[in-house]
Amino acid sequence: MSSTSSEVFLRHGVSGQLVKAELHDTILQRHLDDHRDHWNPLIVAQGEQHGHWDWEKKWSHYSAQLSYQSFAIECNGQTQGLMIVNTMKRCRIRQQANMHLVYVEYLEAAPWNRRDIPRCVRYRGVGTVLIAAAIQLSIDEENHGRIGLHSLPQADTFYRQKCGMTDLGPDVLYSPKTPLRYFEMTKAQAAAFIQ
Amino acid sequence: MKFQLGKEWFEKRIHLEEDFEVGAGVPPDRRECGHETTAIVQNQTSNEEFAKSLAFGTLIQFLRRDRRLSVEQLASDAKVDVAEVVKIEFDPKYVPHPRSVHQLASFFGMPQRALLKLSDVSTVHNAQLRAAVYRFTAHSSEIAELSHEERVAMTEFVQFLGTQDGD
Repeated sequence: MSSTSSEVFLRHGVSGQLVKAELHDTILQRHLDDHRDHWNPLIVAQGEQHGHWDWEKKWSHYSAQLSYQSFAIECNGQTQGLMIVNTMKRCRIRQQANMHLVYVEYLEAAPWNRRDIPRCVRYRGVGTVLIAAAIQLSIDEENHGRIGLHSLPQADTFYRQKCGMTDLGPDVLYSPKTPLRYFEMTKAQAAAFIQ
Repeated sequence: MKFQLGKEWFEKRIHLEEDFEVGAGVPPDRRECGHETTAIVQNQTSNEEFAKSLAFGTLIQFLRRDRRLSVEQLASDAKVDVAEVVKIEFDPKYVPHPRSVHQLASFFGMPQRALLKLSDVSTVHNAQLRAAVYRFTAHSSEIAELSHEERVAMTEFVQFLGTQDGD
């Protein structure tokens, strides 16, 4: 499978300098290999909140459906973040109810880029770049930047305050045991994010 | 997709990410991998899903019969595996490969987006489409040639799908 890559930037965790990275518009086998060989050992060792997502299974399931698309960020020869989106979901905010949006099914940064794992962060900005990619795809799909997602509890602040998304509260139907909050971004919020 | 944000944007924007976590999606211990569906989909009844699946297969079968093609001829002309055409037409639970939907849509001159929606039961939340699906599948039968009633139902349904090809 081929992919188109775009130049993006991440911030180096130690030097603070921007470093070049590549955003791929599909998850490739080498990204899945990185997850299995490099992410998983760290994730399992830490046992953190979204520790056992099996991206290989996920992507083998979703890649056969045209409504799903995936993204991967590479930097310094390693996969730094992964995302799967669905382009056929509908909005919930009243002002844009039932319009199509790009729904972020899964978004995960490499364990060495996450702050909930007590180690030095290698690269910052993975979430920002992937959300910008979802917005760009939404624009390309003529959905005007509208996106939606269910945030992991520790990421609520990022989506509410830093991305400026509308918080529609806990979604008990989506995840009954521990309801995740549903966030949605309007056309105006998307424009503000990428300006 | 080409991403065209300048370096200045990253300089300004990444700074705002600070030390916040960014993960999204239901953790795996709450849902079986490979069966992820949204709450909306979970709320749909199995009858609705069955009807939508049936509608896609029935539509393909009607279009084929209307052109007096055998399954093998359709598979050959549309460049779709014959086994898949059989599954599409006769197995309501079968989820067709996206390439096959694309090929069939192109072959029959159908709106691809609407056909894609119809082929993927997890994406249909439109009440009008649901109603049209029910009306159409109610005319399903396995006779060799399309009856007048079937042809009218198919024509109406194809026209309706044409209105569903956008947002």
